[in-house]
Amino acid sequence: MGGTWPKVIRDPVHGIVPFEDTKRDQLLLELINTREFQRLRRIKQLGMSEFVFPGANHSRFAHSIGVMHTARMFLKSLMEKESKGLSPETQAAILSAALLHDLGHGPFSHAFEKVTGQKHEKYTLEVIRNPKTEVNKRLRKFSKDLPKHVAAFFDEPVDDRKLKAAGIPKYVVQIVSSQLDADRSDYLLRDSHATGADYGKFDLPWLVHHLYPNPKKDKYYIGKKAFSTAEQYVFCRYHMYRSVYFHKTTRAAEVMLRLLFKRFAEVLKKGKILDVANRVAPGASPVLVKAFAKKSLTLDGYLGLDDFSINEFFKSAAVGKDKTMAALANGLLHRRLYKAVDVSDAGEASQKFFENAQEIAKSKQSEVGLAEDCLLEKDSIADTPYKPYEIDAEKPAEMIFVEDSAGRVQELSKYSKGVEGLKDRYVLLRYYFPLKLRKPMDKLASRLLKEVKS
Amino acid sequence: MRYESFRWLASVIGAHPENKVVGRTRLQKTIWLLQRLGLKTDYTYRTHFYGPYSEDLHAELGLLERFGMVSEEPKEKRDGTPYFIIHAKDTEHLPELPDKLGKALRVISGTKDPVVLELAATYDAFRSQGSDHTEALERLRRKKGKKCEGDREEKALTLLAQLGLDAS
Repeated sequence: MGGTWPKVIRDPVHGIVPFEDTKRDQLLLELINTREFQRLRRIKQLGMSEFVFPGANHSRFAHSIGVMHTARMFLKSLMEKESKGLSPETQAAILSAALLHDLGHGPFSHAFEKVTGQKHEKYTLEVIRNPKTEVNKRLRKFSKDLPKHVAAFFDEPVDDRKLKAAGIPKYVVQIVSSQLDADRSDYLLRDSHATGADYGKFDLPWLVHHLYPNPKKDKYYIGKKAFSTAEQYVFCRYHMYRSVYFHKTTRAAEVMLRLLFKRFAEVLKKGKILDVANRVAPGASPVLVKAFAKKSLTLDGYLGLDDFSINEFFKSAAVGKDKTMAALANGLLHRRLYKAVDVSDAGEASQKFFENAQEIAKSKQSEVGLAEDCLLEKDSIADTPYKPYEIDAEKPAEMIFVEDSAGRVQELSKYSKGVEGLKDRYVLLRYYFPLKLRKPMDKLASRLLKEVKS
Repeated sequence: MRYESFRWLASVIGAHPENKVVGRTRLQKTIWLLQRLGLKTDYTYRTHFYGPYSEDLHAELGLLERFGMVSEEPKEKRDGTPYFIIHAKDTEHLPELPDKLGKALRVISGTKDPVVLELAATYDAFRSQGSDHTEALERLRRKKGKKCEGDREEKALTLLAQLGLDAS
């Protein structure tokens, strides 16, 4: 790569992201230029949040560069305090893993994962391991084992033997995946910046400056001077989930997307898939149709799908012959979103609401003109803002450690009552329905919620 | 009458001996098997750390707690590892499990060793993904390693056969 060095990328969150004339930074820059990474320009970071926060249309491309930059900050701070140091190969593996962690995301990620039945992590690993991808070729150019070493960061659980063979100390894996990692640090700041919701902001440079390695215990910790920043970081995460990611209207769009995807998959079962698709979504991409028909996709086929494919699908379904799909697609194109009733605090009354709401939906079906199973949709979501260690969790969480005033290193919630309170899971339960059902549903909800209050 | 998934979830907890389930993992695997046998829940499962795991189910367990329908009692093993006992509180208004599922639940809850249940659910998850018996066993051994040793693997297959699920 010629031209003048250092090369820089300007970023709204981190300012200047520099690349020096070193083998390591050349690798990172060339990975950014691969076609698999460039695809991330066409995948939005926040999917449907744009319906509520008009500025939230940033891409996974910008986020991934931000994660790499943040990981580099973490690494630099830790290396300044660790006498052993890390080889250029190990540093390249960590930063490549940070940069490439989102490669396998599909369009509108979580809803689409339900369509394919595959987790995005599977595709991330496939891109890294497949010798035909540009990413794999570029990693191999650096060193033949680099794809293997980068892939080791994504094993669940992390395989200690693989890390040892790659010369990667276990504690640095937390830079890529833990409750205090480069990914979360970047997305909180970036999403906060893009949405305008300031409660996602925390003092990243201060936090990073006070990171200390503890290789004997396989972890890093935060020095006492940054204790408040560590606390603030956890609170930021809580507020961003509650107010941005779980926003009622954002979820309305997600519910509609889910219903549209489900409906399309069902309709495709009713005949030859391409014929049916041509009727209900004329001109829809054959790869997309294949994905909905649960046919297995080649890696190239999967990587050909992005937000543009789905947006084009909305347009074609909007003029298609299936009324339900057309209504949902039009709603998503023109922001005619479902409305919601929140029964998170209704207790037993939620069942009454569900029963009566079903009757209302059924009686008004012909008036609304949608398929019966698209008239009332439950959305229950939960989050544990700070995850305690649990043996039977989906995967054991990597905790955050801080130094207390006496110089002892403790798990954060033992030292902070505020964070201790965030170890409890909270849940939201909402029912969504088309606008035409709003009046009777609101009336029903207000009657039942009045009963609950009394 | 149609019920939401979380009410069926509460029914399954309430139908356990003493209205309680020891461990969230056990509950996850129990619901997986019952859902395969026709329980009217719609949880999306992924094959994860301890086999099939549903984030939706985990969320709805929180919902049941919020509604006062179950309580989770935190416990610690001798080595300090935390786990939960899940108690159903008010079982009176819950939907009744069909006979077939009630019988299946008795077989599942009678399986005392949680690892056998974990192996059975994981093998069955592989079968549901299209693996035949040989491939499912190979994948199980690769994923679970030492947990397959002794007679646990055989017990897991026997359990599945008793439930009427493919085990050969």
